[in-house]
Amino acid sequence: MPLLDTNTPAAFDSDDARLRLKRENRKLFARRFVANKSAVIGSALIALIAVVSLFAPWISGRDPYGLDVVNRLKPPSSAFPFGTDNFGRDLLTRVVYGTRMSAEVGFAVAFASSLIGLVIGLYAGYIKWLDQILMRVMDGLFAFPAVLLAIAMMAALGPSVGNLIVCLTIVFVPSIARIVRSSALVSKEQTYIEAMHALGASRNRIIWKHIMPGALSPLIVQGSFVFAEAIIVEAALSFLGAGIPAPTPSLGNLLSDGKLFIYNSSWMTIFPGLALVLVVLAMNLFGDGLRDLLDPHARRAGKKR
Amino acid sequence: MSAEPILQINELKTHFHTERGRVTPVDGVSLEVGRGEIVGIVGESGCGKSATAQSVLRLFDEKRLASYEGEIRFGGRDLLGLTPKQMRGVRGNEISMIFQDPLSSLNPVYTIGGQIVETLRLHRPIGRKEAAAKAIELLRLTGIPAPERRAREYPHQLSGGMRQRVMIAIALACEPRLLIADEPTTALDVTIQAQILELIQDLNRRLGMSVMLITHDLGVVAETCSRVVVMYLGQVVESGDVRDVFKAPLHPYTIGLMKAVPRLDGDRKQELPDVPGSVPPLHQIPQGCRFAPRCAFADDKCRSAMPELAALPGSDTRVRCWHAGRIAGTED
Amino acid sequence: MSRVSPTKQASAEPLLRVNGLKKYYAASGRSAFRRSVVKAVDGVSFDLREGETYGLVGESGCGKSTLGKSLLRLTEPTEGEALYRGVDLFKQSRKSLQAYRRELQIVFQDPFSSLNPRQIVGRALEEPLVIHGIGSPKERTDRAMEMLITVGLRMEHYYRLPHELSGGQRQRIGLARALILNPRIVICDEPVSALDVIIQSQIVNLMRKLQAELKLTYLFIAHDIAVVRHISDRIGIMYLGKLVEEAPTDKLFANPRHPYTQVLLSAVPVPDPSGRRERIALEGDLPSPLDPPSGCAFHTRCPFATERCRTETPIRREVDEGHFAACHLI
Repeated sequence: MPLLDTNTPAAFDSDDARLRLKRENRKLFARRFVANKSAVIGSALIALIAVVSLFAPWISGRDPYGLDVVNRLKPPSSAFPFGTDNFGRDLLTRVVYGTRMSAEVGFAVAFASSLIGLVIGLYAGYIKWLDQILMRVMDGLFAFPAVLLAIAMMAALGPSVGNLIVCLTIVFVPSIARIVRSSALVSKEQTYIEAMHALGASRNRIIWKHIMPGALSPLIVQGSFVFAEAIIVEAALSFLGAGIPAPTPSLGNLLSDGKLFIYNSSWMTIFPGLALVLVVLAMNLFGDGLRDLLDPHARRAGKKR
Repeated sequence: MSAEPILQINELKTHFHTERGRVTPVDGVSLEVGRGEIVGIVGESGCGKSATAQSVLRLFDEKRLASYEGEIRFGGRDLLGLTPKQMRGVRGNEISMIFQDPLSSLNPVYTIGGQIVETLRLHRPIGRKEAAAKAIELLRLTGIPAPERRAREYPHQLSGGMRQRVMIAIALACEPRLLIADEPTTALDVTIQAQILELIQDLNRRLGMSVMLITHDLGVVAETCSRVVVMYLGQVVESGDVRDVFKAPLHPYTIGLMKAVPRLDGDRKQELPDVPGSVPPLHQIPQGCRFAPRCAFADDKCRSAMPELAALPGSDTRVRCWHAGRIAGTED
Repeated sequence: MSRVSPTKQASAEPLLRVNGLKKYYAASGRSAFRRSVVKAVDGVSFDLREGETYGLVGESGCGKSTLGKSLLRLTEPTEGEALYRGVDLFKQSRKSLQAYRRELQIVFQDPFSSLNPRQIVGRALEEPLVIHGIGSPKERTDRAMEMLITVGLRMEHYYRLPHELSGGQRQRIGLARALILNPRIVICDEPVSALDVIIQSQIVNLMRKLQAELKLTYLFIAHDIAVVRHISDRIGIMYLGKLVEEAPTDKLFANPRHPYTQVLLSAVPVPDPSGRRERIALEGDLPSPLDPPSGCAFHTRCPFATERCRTETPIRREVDEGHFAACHLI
């Protein structure tokens, strides 16, 4: 009889109690999420941006490329809430499409660099000799300021949306790889990894099945920061003429267009600028909130034995 | 042991307010530590022995996490009634505490000597030089060889046993009247454990300092303590003189604990007797007697009503069990 | 007390014979010019006989865990051989070692970090079967459920995450994971030292039961000699990387020969206040393995040390049938 681990109270063992515990955990997470202002505001803004981007054609109804010479440089009015630019194009429409373009680039870069950074980080973290090679390359990339590196690569490749995504991905892979690598280095030392060795598990199985899941939450957090950062760098490059080629609206292009008219038609700068701030703020708030929610140390605070 | 105990805990309750609701790791604990006495508090992890000790020094975050009920009388005052500032004057000065892991309790960037000096100067108006001399004297008192040299070393340069001696030296700096030792030897090897226990006993005898020794090891209790308090799930289930309790334990949990300890004598081929199951989590406390679900003596009464902690007629041992009388009878 | 139970003498050929095992680490010492070496395990030899439990006892830093892990090549040994049924495990390639992984398994000390916190118990138990390509998914699940029962848990624990379990329950899972491949030898690396005393005795009882049912051979590594006494047939005492004494359990307790063994025995606190004994006081700490003492490694702390102990390394001798010790004073 004593060989059986009998006594955890019956209530704890029934499936019903288990489901209740699960539901309770989900409720706790929801409560923590709601209590985390950054996460709430960030995700609300992101939802807003996503809706605007997805429904861009329905929001303004105008053509972002439609020239209207009669209505050049009109200040904001009921007909043109954000005013018009030097070609008479509706600025609201262009800001909406520009935000969409920037968000697309940001998302693509965050996704691609997360994927590549994950692979590099995991293998660098797990295999010692590979670490030496991979991380030296990453350090080399890290040594350049992001914008400078991107400009150099864009100059070599030529401006296009595709090239921009490729360049920015290369720029941001090291930051992701570093985060993943440090998480892998920690997991690698855990006894359960040693247990897997003792069972004869292959290297790839250990890396992907047992080390990768632990790297996911820091990866997601870092990915959201890369998202924001990529939008800023995209804007900077487009502003400098090394990013998305005109006339495609992107937040950087719009700011660049506005700079010639900043004294007389400041709305051409103000509205794209505000949109940029909003998008980047949303991503950063979301990232911060997520980090607090996923960080196991923050989670355990106030729950001592 | 004089009539007036140095520490008297009356019906202490410590509540933790967690996201999952309120739990009470210390639930109505009453115990006392007499002058010059070493009292052992034993139980498995989760029994509330450490929480009780930390409540005495009010170490929990009272703004966000914990709240206390009851009374902790020390030196004519109720510690629970003191302001945070007054409480700081008690900690490390009148009551000191040492912990299981001496490495994380020592600051790695200061020398051993420096840390003792700091403690001294925190509570006493003495000069740096005098404090330094006192620090070396304290290190010598705790049996550290070449204290002058050791005082200039950093925590990582010392072994585990040496670090625990340093912790004790820091704890003794202000000549406290009560030392709370929370699993002081659990992280140490047996030969080193024996040295540290000897040191604690020696200091107790020479300085007349009372000790509250928290441990999960009944062997440690038997060898060092004069009285023992057995805890289970936040409550005292048995307390009394060490010799009495070890000779004739009255609570089924105490009996289970004692039988489970592997011994150096006796029949080793036999199965180690054990208590079934494990300590339930704090938010699933059983009805009635808290030990009933694991207890061989449990009946319907046990499962519905909680027994009081009381002494049997003609006995000094206090026990929380409906069947204590029967157990005492069968023990004879 | 010189009686030796017949089962232990039956098999002449040991299941595992360890010969002159050494594991040295290069330590980055204080000086960059002087390369120092930590001799974690320094020439250990012993036999593991089929069906027995060999207890390996020593204080932290004596190399007992390193020894256990080098047998499984979780850390590569520096020198020596480990003959498992005549085949040297240390000479196998990674690939051919795979087959032996099924036969030799390990249970770890820390039930908290030895299970993947993100993997449900059932998957953790199936993992070894997946790795070795055993059975269909359905069969693996059945086998995992069966193992849960074997180690005293219930089927519904299959869906639990490790943090939902108590320390004792987790250690049962660790045991089940090691046993699911039907190994012959289980290396138990401090399997109960992180557990409370009642849970500890539950696990020790369970291990003894499983040993009898599944015909297992244990190498039981622990620092607590009282626990080891209850499970082991023979015991080896380690000090600073060397085996200083080895004997059948009853002989060792009746007549400990090495001073270190005597000290170790007298240091164990006994739960009996009326029988407080005189201890053999032991001076000082374990010397640094970076700079081990000359001669007998124990001489710096030995109450009986002589001049000879300081200079000459004692050789292991048989002092009684099956009882070995390495000390000049015997």
